[in-house]
Amino acid sequence: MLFPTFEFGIFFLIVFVVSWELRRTVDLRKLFLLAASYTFYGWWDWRFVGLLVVSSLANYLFGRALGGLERDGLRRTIVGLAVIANLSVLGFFKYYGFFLESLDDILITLGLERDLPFLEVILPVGVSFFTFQGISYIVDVYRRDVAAQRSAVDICLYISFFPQLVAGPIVRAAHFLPQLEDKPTLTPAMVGLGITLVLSGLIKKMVIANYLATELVDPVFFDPSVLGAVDLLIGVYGYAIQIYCDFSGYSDIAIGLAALLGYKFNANFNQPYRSASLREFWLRWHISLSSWLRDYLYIPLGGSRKGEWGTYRNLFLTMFLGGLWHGAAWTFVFWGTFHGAMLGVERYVSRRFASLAPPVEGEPQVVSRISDAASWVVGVIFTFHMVCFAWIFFRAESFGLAFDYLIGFGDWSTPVQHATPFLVMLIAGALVFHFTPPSLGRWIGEGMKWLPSPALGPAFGAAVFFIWAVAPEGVAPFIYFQF
Amino acid sequence: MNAVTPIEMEGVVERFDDMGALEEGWAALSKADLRDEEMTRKSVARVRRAFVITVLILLVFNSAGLVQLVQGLSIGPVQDTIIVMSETWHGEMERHGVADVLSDIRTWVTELVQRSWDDVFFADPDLRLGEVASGADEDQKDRTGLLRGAVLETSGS
Repeated sequence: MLFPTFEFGIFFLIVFVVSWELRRTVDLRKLFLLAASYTFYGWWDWRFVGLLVVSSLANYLFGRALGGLERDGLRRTIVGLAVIANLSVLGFFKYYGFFLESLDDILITLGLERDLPFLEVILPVGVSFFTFQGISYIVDVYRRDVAAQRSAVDICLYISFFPQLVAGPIVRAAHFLPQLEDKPTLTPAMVGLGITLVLSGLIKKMVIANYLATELVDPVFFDPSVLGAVDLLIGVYGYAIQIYCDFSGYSDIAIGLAALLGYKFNANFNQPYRSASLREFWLRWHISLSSWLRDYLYIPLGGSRKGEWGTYRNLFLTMFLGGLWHGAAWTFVFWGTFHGAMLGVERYVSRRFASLAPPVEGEPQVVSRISDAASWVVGVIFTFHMVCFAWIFFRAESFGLAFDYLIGFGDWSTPVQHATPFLVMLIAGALVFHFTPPSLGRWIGEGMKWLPSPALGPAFGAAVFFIWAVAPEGVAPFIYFQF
Repeated sequence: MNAVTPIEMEGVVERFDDMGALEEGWAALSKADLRDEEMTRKSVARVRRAFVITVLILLVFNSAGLVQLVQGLSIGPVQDTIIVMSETWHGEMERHGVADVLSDIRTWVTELVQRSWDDVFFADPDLRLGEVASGADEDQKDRTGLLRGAVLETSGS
């Protein structure tokens, strides 16, 4: 069941009405939301609901075991087992085929060809997301950031709650579990924010991302060798906007739906293309994943406490594994590795630059302001193009196509075929949005907060109808479903 | 926490002389909880009404979508009735011209999507570079044809 469909609309109406009717009986409400979440997930493939239940219950039991123990050694063993169990599920479903194919290639290259046990493994939707949430819970219990839950329903609901189940944002146990204990409330602010985010997500996904995908990005990346530099350049800008609108659109809808059900999720995107450095980009892009990687991978590896070279190694490893998390293909590995390497280079250069040219005392304020503004503009443009370069490998089906894409930038004579004014306008509009006030969404939400239903209903209804009418026909799945 | 604890059951708030004498099924709620409950009740009702209006708007203006949705239903007497009702509803919306709003918007957007750079920079077809001469030729041909037809008619009569 995809968010922007009639089926989901009917499903959410039922869930909204029934769950709020049950608000006085908190336990019954949680059971109902859990059943609704399994129905939502089972809509794709009922067989994988079992996997979701088993994964949730295993994490619940690991949590209970950790909660009842004091001995550090035993606790470490249990948390290790829990992480291995979670990663094994992810590894089998997501990477089994990839590792076997890679092994097969290596054996063929070495002249040691063997019959390997290839299997047709179907990737369960959202497996990366619910696995990471399970690990988050276990590690938080181990660190004593959150108490081991006594209620299995709470853990199952935390891992399976339908708004964030299949494509995030990755919710932290310490943030979500306390909300399940309280009686749910729906404030006017949550209504305003929820409605605004749902509409903004629908516009981003159904209009901007879908038009860019069908009219520009898919044809450009299908065979870049026959296109000129202008199409390729606009094509990669288009992909940068498409993936942003697709994924942040999903996150907006997820956060908005959760708000309408009385739960608060943290923001997952914060105008990422206004970043003046890669470090800043990762603080604004897929925030729930980058903070997850920081807290559960980068810091346990030693973070920046292991000296200068240790920090570079940890940055590189974190981004390498972050790339592999995105997909079982070498192009994703390259994407993560490139980001890891460039984060290291950026850190090195900025430190050297700071030591070579320290701020001058007594410099006129106007001069320092102009130089700050100029370096910010250069930083934004440079960072955006670095990110776009990496997106080519992220989107291309193979390294061959990615290299064809890069070679095509040398050809400025082929006439433009795909970059139409409408698509360029969409890209420009989405980029301009990145430089609007960060609180714009909250302001619109504030405006909606007190609208009475005779005004809110027609405004919401007209907006949904207009988005539906303007969007291209058919519903494309979200990009991050495959991860 | 608020010190005042009124007693509430099924929305009725009462006070007892003996605050300790709570009968089974009664619960003590703080004023803050009562305020939250009232605010939630109002917000839920507001969103519910807004959703009902949204559904009505979509039923009226996107009746084609309704037909598309119900055609995915399995075969059965109830489903068949729903399909017939939906198609009748869509027919009514088409008859009153309401369903045309969707197709009008889609036509306008399709034109916008298909617009080329030439369309944008040379909006007036007569001003398109390189097309002035060919346009003039086309115009000339039409007039020649008209003249030829006139001549033939004259000669045939």
